[in-house]
Amino acid sequence: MHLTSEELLDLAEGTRPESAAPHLARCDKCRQQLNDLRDVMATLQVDVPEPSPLFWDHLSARVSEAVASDAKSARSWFGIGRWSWGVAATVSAVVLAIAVSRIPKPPPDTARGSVTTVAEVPADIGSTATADDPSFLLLRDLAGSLDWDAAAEVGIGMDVGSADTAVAELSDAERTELQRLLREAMSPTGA
Amino acid sequence: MAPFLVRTLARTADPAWELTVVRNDAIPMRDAALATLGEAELVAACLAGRAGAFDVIVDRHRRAVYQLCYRFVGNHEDASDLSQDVFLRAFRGLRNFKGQSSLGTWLYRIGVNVCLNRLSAKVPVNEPIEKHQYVDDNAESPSERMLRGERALQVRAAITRLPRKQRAALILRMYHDMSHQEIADTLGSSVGAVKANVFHALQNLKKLLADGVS
Repeated sequence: MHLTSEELLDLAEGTRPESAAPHLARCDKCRQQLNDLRDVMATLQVDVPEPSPLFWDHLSARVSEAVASDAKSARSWFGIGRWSWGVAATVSAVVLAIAVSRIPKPPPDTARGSVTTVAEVPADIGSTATADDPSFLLLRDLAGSLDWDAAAEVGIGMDVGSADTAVAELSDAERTELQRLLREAMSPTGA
Repeated sequence: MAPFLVRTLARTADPAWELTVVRNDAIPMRDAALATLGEAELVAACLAGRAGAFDVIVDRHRRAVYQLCYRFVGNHEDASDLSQDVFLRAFRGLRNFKGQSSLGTWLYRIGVNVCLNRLSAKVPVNEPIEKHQYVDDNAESPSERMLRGERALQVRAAITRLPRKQRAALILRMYHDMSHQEIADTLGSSVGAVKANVFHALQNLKKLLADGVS
């Protein structure tokens, strides 16, 4: 049985002694394969061309510039502050809650019992209540231009507990106002 | 940055002049102190926002990173751009470096990913033969030197023709002294797969060189 590619490679790299492969002594094919591997490996001993001595400092300067620019960019995103992101998230949640609460409910269908199917949702839902609502349009425009990766990269992705954190960072007055807005949005009249 | 003021001597008896002693080597000493730090301390200094700490990391690893990139793409321009990209990604992801491997191995891992991504998107441009830089070796005649240079050029070009995984495994094994296990960790594969890739890479190189690929 011939040597496997793994065994041949180990022999060529010298991590396995030839004495551990007695098959080599009686198999010209395996011996030839091993010699070929060794020849190619010897051929590979070539260096990368050395660039100009000035290149290294130039590369360091380029990296330093790119890193500084990157850090500045990151600061400008985060410079808005966690508190501001929290408020923005809360306001978005309130706007969304208001928009959802204004979706007209389908009239009860007593003839077919109390089960409501998807097909019974009014077909003009998009063109009446939500589509004309400026709050919903604002939310849609804001969300539409932001892809998930970009949001996650700047740290405004939805983490577990992020809404709790945002609410926890509100002042008492802001929390009271939030409660009022939520109550208003969730009241049966839809405010 | 304000200079480091060692002390100020003022002659109260003669208010017409004042002597201020400033240690001129203050800033170089800061850099020199950084240069003596170990990997973990350097990373911690970077994360703490200490100026110049990441520059020290770049200075230590730029040659190895550049050579890794060069072997992948086979030309200086792309290798230079890729090296910059590797360090930028390293800077962004420095918080993820846990010290389980050396900083060099971690940078190789980023480098391999950056290079493989580039290979997916771009056809490699090999170095033009007139740009080839020969090794200065006075023991060789000009013709011998030229032949050796052409051979080296062929080898580097042949490597850039290898399939991506074979290329990555071969480069890390042959030129960066990484163990099969380290390569497997870097490429997210098994030791067996790495060995198979290196073996097939060598066989393919034999054919490419025999066909006179340049």
